[in-house]
Amino acid sequence: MEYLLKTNDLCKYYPKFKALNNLTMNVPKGAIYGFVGRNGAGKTTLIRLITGLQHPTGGSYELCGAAHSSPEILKVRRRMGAVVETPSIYLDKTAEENLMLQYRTLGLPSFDGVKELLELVGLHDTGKKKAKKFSLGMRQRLGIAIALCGNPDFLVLDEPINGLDPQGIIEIRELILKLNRERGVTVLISSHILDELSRLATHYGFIDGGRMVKEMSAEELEAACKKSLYIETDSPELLSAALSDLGLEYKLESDSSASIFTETEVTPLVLALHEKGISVRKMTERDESLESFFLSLVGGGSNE
Amino acid sequence: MNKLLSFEFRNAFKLLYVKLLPLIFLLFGILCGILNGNNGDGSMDGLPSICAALFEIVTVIGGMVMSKDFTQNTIRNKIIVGHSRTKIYLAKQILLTVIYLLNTVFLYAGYVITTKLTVTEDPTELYAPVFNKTGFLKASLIIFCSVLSLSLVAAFLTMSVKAALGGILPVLALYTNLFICTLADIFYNAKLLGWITDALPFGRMMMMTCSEPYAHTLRCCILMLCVGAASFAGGIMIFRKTNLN
Repeated sequence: MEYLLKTNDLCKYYPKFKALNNLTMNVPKGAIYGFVGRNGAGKTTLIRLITGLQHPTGGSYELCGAAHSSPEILKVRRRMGAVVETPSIYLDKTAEENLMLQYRTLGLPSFDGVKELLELVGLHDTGKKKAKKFSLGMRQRLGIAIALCGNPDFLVLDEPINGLDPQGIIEIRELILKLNRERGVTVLISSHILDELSRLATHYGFIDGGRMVKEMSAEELEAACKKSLYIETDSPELLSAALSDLGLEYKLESDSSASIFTETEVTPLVLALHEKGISVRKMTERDESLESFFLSLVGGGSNE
Repeated sequence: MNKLLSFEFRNAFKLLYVKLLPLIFLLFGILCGILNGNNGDGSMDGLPSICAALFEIVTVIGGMVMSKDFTQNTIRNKIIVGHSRTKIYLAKQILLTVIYLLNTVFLYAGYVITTKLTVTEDPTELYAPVFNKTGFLKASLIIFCSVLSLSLVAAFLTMSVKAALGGILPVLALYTNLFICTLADIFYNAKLLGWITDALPFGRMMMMTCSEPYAHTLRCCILMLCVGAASFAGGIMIFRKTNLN
């Protein structure tokens, strides 16, 4: 597998605080990589390191094959866009002017694409309104639009849906998916909102205390958080045999209850069990959420 | 580097207060020249103190322009897309130095032209450096070096604090500078203070009206440029290692 970002025992120590402690992670090319961790876990610190805003204390990282200490890293960064924490925008300029300034920073020959970018993030109708009058969500979108200037191959978004309304969240989600699917942009997203991440991410990295706890693909996570149908019956002696006869994947939870992992329609299942002389007393769908899986990985408590 | 320079200059010279500065400097230069013409001898009385006052303004405005990227955190947009920190610093330094020098040229031009037009006495009898080729060159060299050195020190302070304070700190430094210069003026015979004054931007500018306005011109210029060069090197070194948020 080709990796766009690889970190190797990356460390960042501040005078009284270890923000990253030998963190190793791999972001595959073309992936939407969900970077999950509590406040203070080290997500933003990692993003600051890979975007060049800060320097690692130890370890190394490679971006598109270029080592962080090599001069090529500067060229590689031209193919990168990022929104780190709060969007970096000129508050006394309009959305369009902000994008034009970023085009100039990149040295792009023309402003073709500015209007398209504004439409993409839904800021095309802001006219002469200065960025200082934008809502938090609008600023966030403008930050994303700035990150998208120059068609980057790698997009780094730190809590991109903070401050967005539900409609805005959907739009940003659609935008990220579109960029990933249509333009092949690799996206690294850090977020607390795990439910939202689970709608996007193809890969996950769980970080805690500056260390990578687990990296996995969405398929592996899905398997770990497998959906099941929990049933309770009054005929424990018949249940196991009946479920086996129906060819279902299941696990007995107690004498009278079981969890069924095979995706199945509820009505035919109840009727089939009824035909075998089993009456169903209770049936619920169980779904281990990303949140509970995350908590099982990092434990409870808080870093704050 | 060209991209950054173009970006910095376009952004800075769009600001009204940056555009107005040369005009203000020109007007003060003319005013200063008229006043000196009225003195009769066209001496540089008044120009150093007006320079100091005007350069407080240019220091604040230069600091504001330079620190804008830090106050709005837009400096990140440059670093993220791969501009090296050295080049970012250099582009900002060039911008600030150009702002300083451009305004100095306007001030000086206003002063020199008006003095020549208003002084009616025989130029050979006059004390004014404007009418004396060597004196004029020495005065210009000192002013050029002090302005260059001041811009380097101001950029160092602004880029090191990385905040809105960057616009104010150089002014505080300027005041400290002026305070030392005043002390040196009082105790000019004290050797050490003489050296200190020579090394500080504006040091000699403030001394232009003393009995030996061009004493140690070369030493003064070298010392001021050394101070400027040290600030520039230190500024780049600090900025390259700085952790940005």
